[in-house]
Amino acid sequence: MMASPPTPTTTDTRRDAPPLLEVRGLNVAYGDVQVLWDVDLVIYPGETVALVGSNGAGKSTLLNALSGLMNPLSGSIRVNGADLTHQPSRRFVHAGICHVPQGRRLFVGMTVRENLMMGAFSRTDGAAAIRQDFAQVLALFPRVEERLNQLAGKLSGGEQQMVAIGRGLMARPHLLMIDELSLGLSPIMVDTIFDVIKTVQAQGRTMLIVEQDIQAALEQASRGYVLDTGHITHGGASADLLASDAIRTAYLGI
Amino acid sequence: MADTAEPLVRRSSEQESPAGPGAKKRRTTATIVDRVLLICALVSLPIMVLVPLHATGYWMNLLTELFILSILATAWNIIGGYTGYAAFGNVAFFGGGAYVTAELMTRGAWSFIPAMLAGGLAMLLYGAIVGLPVLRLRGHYFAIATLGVAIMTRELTNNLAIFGASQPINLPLKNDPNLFYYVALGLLVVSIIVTYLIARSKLGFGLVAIRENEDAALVMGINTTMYKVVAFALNALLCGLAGGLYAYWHSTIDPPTVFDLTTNVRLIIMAVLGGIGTPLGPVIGAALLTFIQETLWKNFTNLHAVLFGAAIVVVVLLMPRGIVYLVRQKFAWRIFVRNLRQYRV
Repeated sequence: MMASPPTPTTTDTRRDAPPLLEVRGLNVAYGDVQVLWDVDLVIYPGETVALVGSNGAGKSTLLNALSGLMNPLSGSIRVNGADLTHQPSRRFVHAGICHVPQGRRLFVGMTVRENLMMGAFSRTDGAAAIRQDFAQVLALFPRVEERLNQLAGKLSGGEQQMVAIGRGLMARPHLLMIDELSLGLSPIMVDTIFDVIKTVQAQGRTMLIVEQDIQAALEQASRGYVLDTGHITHGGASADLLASDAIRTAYLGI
Repeated sequence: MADTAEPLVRRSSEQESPAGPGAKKRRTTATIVDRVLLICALVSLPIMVLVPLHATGYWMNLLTELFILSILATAWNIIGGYTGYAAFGNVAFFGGGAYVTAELMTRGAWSFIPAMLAGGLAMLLYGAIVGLPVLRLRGHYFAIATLGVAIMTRELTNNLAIFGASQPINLPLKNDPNLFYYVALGLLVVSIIVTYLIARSKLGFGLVAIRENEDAALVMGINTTMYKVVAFALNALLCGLAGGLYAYWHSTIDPPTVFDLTTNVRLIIMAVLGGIGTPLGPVIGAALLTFIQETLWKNFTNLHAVLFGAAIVVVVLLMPRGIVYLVRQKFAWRIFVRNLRQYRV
């Protein structure tokens, strides 16, 4: 049962509020190969958090664990205080966590409209609210509106990413997690997508963004975490991270 | 960007009309065609109901068999067409339904309809139990596992004393072609209605989402395990009912007949030929395939198997998406040409 989330009017990080997502000592492995080690991560309502790290650091694995697609070895995941560790992915969706996976993962044989509506699949708050969000998503992505009746598989990469984000928003999530926000997109499209992120941010949506362009990601986010070979090596305000050597160390290993 | 795992249905959907301003119009055409097909089906139903008044024994036999095959193809369409899981062992449920019905009617002295329903329900249960482990597999692995289920079920009936230990079971004789005809027609109508209901329900959208991208379906919060098991069990239920009818109709059943593995292939060809993922496609495919088969058999008795195989190859090359899709595209010749080019023939 998912009540409509509160929509904060400011984008301030409200540290006094209880955390929306709280991850403690998370260990995740693929079979015998452990990928994440003792990951701690906290996200407060209304803030945008960037997760950065080099290829293979475990960013996507962390997101998969945070949406229930992967079962952690140990540790805990709490959403709005409720323990969701070892729960199937649908529980995470019901708790208001929405994952826009790497590579878009659209339903390529469905139309754009059907893809967006699939985002609202697990909602129980009625057709009127869904219609309202549908209109909001279309206002956010005018290009998507032009292509509503086309097959999602026929869209360009950037348009597909728009549909993927729109599909995520259709779930009206408390927390929107976007994996590889701008991977494989043209520079102009990257700008467009970041503009959209700004708008969504201004609407008060909480977001966790995985992004290769560290500069852009940290400028967008209020806080950031650096993931290096499965460990969270740094976490803090974006400005501090940009100023420190943490990023250079994580990416270049020097 | 395109995903690696390509289920049976995916490739075909990617051939869909090129994106453009016409896309919207074409979609409406598809809707109209679907309506027309539905109206055709509704019109032909009273005709089918009246057939026994005039038809000869040959036609009654042919149509009853066609209806049973159509039920099987329609059932497969739920799991193979909508969900994208190419089940290759539906004869397990067909034969299982036949055996449960036969046992109940001979040992239990049940009457036909309750026995048939019990056979269907038993297969619903069997499908759910088998489906839970087997539906964890995807693609080829799933197909092979279901084939294994079919062989396992056949060997169990072959060797267990309660199923006659490979001896044929004789059911009470019933010489009433009209009864079998109407029960088969009724079951077919029920399976088509079930398909329509699924296609329009949340279940149907969930199944199509699983077919299109199962990982994304998970992220949408769909209980994929439950959805797949429900689809598989419904498929098993319809197969079991058809099997029960077949048993009484043939009055003698043995494992090699009701667990005939080529039936799997036939019903999949029917569904693909007609158009998978559409409610009426499998029925159209079954009718066309039976028509081709009968014509060839009558005219080329010695060569009919060879010609039948060749006909299937040609048809699949020309229209891999099936007849319903072809009609939706208004029989455009360019589709034939495009498909031939695509397969580099």
